[in-house]
Amino acid sequence: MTRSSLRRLWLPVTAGLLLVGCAGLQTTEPPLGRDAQDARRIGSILGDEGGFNLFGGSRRRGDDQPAGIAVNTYLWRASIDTLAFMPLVSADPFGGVILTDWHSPPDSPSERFRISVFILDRQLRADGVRVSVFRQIRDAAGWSDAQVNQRTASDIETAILTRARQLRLDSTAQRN
Amino acid sequence: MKKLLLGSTMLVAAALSAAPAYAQAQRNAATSAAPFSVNLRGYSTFAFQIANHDRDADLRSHDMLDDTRLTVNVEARSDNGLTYGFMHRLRLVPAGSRSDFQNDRNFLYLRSASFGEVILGTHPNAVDNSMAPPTLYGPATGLGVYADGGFAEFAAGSLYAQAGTARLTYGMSKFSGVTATQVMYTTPTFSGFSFSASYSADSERGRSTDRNERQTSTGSTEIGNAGTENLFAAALNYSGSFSGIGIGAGVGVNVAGAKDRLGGLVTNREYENVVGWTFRLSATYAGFTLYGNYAYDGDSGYAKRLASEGAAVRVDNDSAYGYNIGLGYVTGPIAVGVSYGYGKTEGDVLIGGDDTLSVLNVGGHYTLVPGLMLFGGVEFFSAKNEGAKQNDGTVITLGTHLRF
Repeated sequence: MTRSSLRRLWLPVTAGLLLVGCAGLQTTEPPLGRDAQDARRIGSILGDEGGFNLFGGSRRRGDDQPAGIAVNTYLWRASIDTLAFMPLVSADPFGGVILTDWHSPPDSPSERFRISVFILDRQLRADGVRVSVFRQIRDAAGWSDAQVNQRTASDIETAILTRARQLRLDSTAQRN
Repeated sequence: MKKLLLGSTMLVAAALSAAPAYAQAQRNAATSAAPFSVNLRGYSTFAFQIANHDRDADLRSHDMLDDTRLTVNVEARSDNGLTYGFMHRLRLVPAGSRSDFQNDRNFLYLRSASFGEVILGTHPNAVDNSMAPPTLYGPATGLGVYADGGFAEFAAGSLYAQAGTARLTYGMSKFSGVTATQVMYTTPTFSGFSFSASYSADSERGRSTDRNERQTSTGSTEIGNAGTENLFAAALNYSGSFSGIGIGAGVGVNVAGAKDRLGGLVTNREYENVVGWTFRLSATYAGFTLYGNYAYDGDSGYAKRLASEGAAVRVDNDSAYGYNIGLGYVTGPIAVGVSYGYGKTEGDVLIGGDDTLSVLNVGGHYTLVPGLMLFGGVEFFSAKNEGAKQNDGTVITLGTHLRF
């Protein structure tokens, strides 16, 4: 290869180095290559990007679905986050069930709560999580079941969904 | 009731306050869930072709083709957004060995929006990967599967012989089509721009079997990919939109050293090194796509004049170039298009005259369901060999393509 041949590379290579050097600019994923463009344009009889997912994985899961968690990962993490102030009895990532132990708020030692969270979907959806709250109060006979404000469960669900949305946005921002 | 509200409110407040703290602790722990998926996908094509041409005296006028490719893709994504994995694609070996498979994609990759993509292994080079017309084999329709008659894959050698010329009719440098073991880097996209560069030691896939700097075959007076080494490819591409009109543009170059020839009719023949340029421009609006590709290879790969070979060498010095222009339209499941391609090479530089090929293609496809389509096209071609007519003809191709 002659020196003049290499010299002709300077324009595209310099332009490329300028691109690489533009650190701090808003960047997105590199463009799709030839094969990926064909696959996207033609589609698949299996839907989306197509293909069989071996070993039970899901190609579509992306950040929503890492291995080892059979439910939506944002809802799962958000639920764990939200209930972090309570002791956990059980957390099953495959069934999507989180059970807490009894917990008394510091300012109200005569009552205690127990929460069950059920994650119902692989997708990040508003109806993908359900919360049940149990409450007991202490009297002379000991702990006994008591009524729970109906809004408590929905408020916790809202807190979980809000947290899941934050996690999702954080993840997207980190990728970009 | 007051106590009930008080306790419940504190419970919710605790839940709201605990969440960010725990999330921060999780983030600090720098977890790497490393989820992975193993995906098996592929496609299969069947096509039927009828050809009516001037050199059909000893040739059947029809043929059929099947082409199946299977891809295994293992992919994972770390918590910091790095996607990594490997891809392996099997394809049927052409030229009659239809019961055998070979791999034409076999590479590792790492990709993220922050540093771009690195590909290590057997893969199209930077120019071929990013600058091919809407599709290489069906420019008119954007189909990608032989709607142009599939000369190079379907009936190579029987209708015309110049593979290099054929590639130039796609407006691609004939040296960009190498799918060799290589390293490739592509920057992230910013403001629509991206840059890609690749390097391959030679045109071989997998383990190299030949590290010679010389060709050992008899060769010809003009080399193709197999006669090159140390191939660098670089491409700068742009994709954007102005007033609803999608614009695509790119410039790419292939630079390679030429292997000298060791044996054959004339010994110690040397060849010109390779510098092949490719340019592309496209505009998309309301379902219409207008595009053009132009390739200029100059005298890349031509045999040099050597005193030891006598005065007969290199009587021609014309440049090799080619272009492809096309217009396509897509509405719902229907796509139609027309394209025209022209390519010219020197052919044998010992003989005057050029090898040329011109191709007019009209085709289309109909998508029955996503991943299953019918396609068809008619193509009119004219090929010349060293300036004399080699073959003219018309080819009709009908087929179906299934992708899963």
